[in-house]
Amino acid sequence: MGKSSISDRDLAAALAGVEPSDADSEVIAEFVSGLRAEVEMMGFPQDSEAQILAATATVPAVVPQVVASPVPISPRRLRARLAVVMASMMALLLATAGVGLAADGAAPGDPLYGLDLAMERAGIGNGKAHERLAEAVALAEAGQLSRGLDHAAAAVATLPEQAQAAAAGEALADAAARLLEDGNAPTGVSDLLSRLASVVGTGDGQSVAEIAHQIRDTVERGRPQVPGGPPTEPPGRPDGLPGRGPGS
Amino acid sequence: MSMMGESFDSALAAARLGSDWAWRVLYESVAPSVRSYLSFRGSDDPDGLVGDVFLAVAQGIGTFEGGADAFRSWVFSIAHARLVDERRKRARRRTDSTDSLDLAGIPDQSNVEAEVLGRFSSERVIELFSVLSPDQRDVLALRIVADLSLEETASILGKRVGAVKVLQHRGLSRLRKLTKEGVTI
Repeated sequence: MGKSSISDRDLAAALAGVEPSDADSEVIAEFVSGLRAEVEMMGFPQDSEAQILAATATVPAVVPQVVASPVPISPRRLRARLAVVMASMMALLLATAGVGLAADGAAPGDPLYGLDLAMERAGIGNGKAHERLAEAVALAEAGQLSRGLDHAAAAVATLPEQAQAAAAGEALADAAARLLEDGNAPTGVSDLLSRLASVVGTGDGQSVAEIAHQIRDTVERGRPQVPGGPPTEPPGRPDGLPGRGPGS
Repeated sequence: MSMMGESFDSALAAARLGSDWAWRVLYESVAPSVRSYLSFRGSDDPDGLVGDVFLAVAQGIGTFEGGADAFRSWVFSIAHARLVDERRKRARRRTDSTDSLDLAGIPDQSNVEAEVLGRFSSERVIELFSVLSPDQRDVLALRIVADLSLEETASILGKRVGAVKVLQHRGLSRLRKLTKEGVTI
């Protein structure tokens, strides 16, 4: 038997979890064990895997565990993907009906979230801001309000009503940062986020901006007061826009 | 290596008809290990690539033939191809070679735990893996991380089985030599 087959036998034994018989095979076994332990941490979060196992029914139970940053897509990348999809549209429409249903609505941290984004990039599934807002609401309902607000901030900033979208995104990002800093979640913020989700995508940029500012103001009012700390800026500004607190 | 066994055939048939539950079963059966593989090999965006991989799977599921192991091998072949594409794009974007070890993003891990479990420490595994040639790393990652056979590995890498065996042997021999000599890299 040649050296190659001896190495292959050692590796096969190590992969199968067979006890090493000599020093050489022990090295291979230890390496395999160490490498597998290393990559074990790189899969999806275990809790999320358990959700998938439990969710072989048609209704996906989405409880996000870890926020993954949405991937920015260049127009060139998007065009390339769309070209691929167009080339095999008939087959894709049939085959992706199920995979789209399974993935659509997955929130950041869900094992299916990457697939959800890929489907959207390919023009399958709704995507866009109102889906991101639905994901933000899911995060908030899962007790990750700050992350939900951050996610919502990134989503509303992409709305076509540019000036209002930028202001709304900034207000939500402020609120997320303050929540993260304080660690408390004032009542009413989740409801406001749900209201925001219901108006995003309707073209009503004014309402989006107003609700976003209400969220920030609600978070601001709920901040713990530090004795001797800087005075809180009263709501309202000369320009008529809702007020912004310290640290803005 | 299959996680699904006999249920694979019914899941495959249902997935071809667009069944939601079937896609979840197929996805769950390989996506975590594909994600681990992509992450370990230094992908910039393992979650995004997993999504791309399954988009390609959705496109090709109608013509796929084979059982659970063949399905796993097919999915990894797509994943490896996407990883190679990503590396090429990355290489075009920048000229440094810091990604050559494919080890970006590997987190720290307790060496004490490793010693208790009788395996190399995290740093040692990374050290040893990093000294292998790119081809040797490809082979050992697909064999150990993706849990693929020699034949499946050869097919994915577009090499003959004999060539893969040689790469594997040289890689393992080097690991043994460095370990025996206690070489610190």
